[in-house]
Amino acid sequence: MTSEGKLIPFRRVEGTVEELSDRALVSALAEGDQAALGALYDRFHRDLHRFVSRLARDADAWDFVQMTYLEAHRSAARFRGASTVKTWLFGIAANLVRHQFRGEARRKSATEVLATLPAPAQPQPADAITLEQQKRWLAAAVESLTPALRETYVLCVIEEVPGKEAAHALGIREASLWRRLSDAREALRATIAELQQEPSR
Amino acid sequence: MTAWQPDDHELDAVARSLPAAEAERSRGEEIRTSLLASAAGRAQLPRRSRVPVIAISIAAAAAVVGVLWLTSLRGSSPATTLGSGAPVAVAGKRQFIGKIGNATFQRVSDWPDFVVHLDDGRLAIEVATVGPDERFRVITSDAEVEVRGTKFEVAATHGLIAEVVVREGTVEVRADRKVVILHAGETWTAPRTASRDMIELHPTQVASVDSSGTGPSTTDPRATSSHVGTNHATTTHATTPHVGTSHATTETRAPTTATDVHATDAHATDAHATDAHATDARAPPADTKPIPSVATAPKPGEDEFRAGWTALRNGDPAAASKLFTTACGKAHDDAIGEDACFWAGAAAKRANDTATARATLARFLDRFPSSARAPEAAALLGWILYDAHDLDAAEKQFHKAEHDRVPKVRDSALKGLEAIARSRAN
Repeated sequence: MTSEGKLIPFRRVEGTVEELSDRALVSALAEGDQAALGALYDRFHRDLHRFVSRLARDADAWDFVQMTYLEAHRSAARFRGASTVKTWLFGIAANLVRHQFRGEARRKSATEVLATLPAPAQPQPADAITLEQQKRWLAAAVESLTPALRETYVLCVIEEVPGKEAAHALGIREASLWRRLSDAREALRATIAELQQEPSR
Repeated sequence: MTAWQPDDHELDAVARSLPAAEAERSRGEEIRTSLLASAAGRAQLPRRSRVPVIAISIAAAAAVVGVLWLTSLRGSSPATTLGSGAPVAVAGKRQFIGKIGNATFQRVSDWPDFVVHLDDGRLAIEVATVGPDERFRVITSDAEVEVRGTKFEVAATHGLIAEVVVREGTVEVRADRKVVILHAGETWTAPRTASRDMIELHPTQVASVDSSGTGPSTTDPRATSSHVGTNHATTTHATTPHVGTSHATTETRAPTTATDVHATDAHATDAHATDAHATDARAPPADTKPIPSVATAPKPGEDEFRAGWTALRNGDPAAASKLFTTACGKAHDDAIGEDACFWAGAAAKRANDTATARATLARFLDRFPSSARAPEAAALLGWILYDAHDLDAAEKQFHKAEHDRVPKVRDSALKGLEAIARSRAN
């Protein structure tokens, strides 16, 4: 006996879509209700764009958003309610991005990434590390993570998705998620240390 | 320079402060339109190309289950259904249906699409976890409840749903044009309506259809559906005119766009087919009317609606508007009608046919004032009226949309109100 059941609508959603919960919208989507697809898009596309833009190039982010919703449309009937709808969409997006990375092997070194990031606006005192500098290093370090570590770190830390849900969305065990998260932090620290050795940075 | 060696906490805190890419609104709208157009195209295709494979697999599995189940029934009382003299509980390996007091119900079909039709009384139900291609449903003439893996009670009065109590898990109740999600411990009670009150004043005779031992004599898993479907038609005939599992399924699955009508899953069509051809000792009397086979027939206006979408996707909004207008005229006040009437106006506006757009959107708002699309239509109409310098009428329309939850609609309405204020100030 499960504590959460999958919801399948019998009747077309006759009320206004804003009356419906996220899960009810997914149920309606599973039945081919395009109003539900539009409503889900309106509810989550900004979050999804933000999430995806941390995993992939900005230029690709909208493409991934679109692909995510198309995939959600295809697989809505399989949504089991084990996570929130937002996390479910994040999981779909992470999978799509991961596949893209596999195809392109686009992982960059942090130095390469840093070269593309804008320099801090203000000149820095010689002995102080500003928050802006820290952000530059960290942004470059995040971008240089392997896809698996990156999606885990972004999902759990930046998007603050609970571990159990995140693990489900990524299709891994919770223990693996925590291990990945720990590895990601170690990798970030190592990269940040390397970047600080670079005299020009 | 002092090295920065953040601990986990500091690292994560800085990470959360990293700026995110701004979601460009115009691109977002573009993606939305493209997405919905793709989805409409997808919905026109046969929905499940794997259906034959799945159906064969399910049929094979169900045949085995059916044989085992029949074997287990032989030694027990006539189990499955119903009437006040029926057994207190109907237990299967995967479900338990217990009557609470007197209840009139019948099992309409077995797994993989287990359907129980409840006429009167209250049932306590437990359902074990079911597979992704399986369903468990309880239907009354006016509502349907579907769950996967839960315990709940459902009560009905003279064919109309009365109450749902959830013990474990989550249940979605769709009735009376509303969707209600119930979690464990929650109860939903049907609102009182005039028809409900009339029924309570003049209760109909509920036919007691003995489908005990509904197990088919063959191992064809559809046979159960066939036999009981026929009996169910008899019951339907005697109680409420439009009850019927397959009919209800078809009728209530109309999507927002018409394109899904043919996508109604195989169960409905199969059920009609088996209803129509059922021959058995328990066959209905001669005057029993078969349930009309509406699953495969396009709804009024559906063809034009689809053609309208095709025209719109092909960049011909003028043609699309005409087709949507035809669909709007033909369709009933259902999903197709609602969408067609809206898109008739929206497409006309896109085609710069302002007069048609104005009239069509106004008609849409009159006909579907509570539609989810009403605020969007009002905003569109508001701008048309604004351009025609009818500021008072435009303001009225913008006010209808200014609190809409969809940002683009709300923003459009607010901009319209600002524009009106500026115009008046000048």
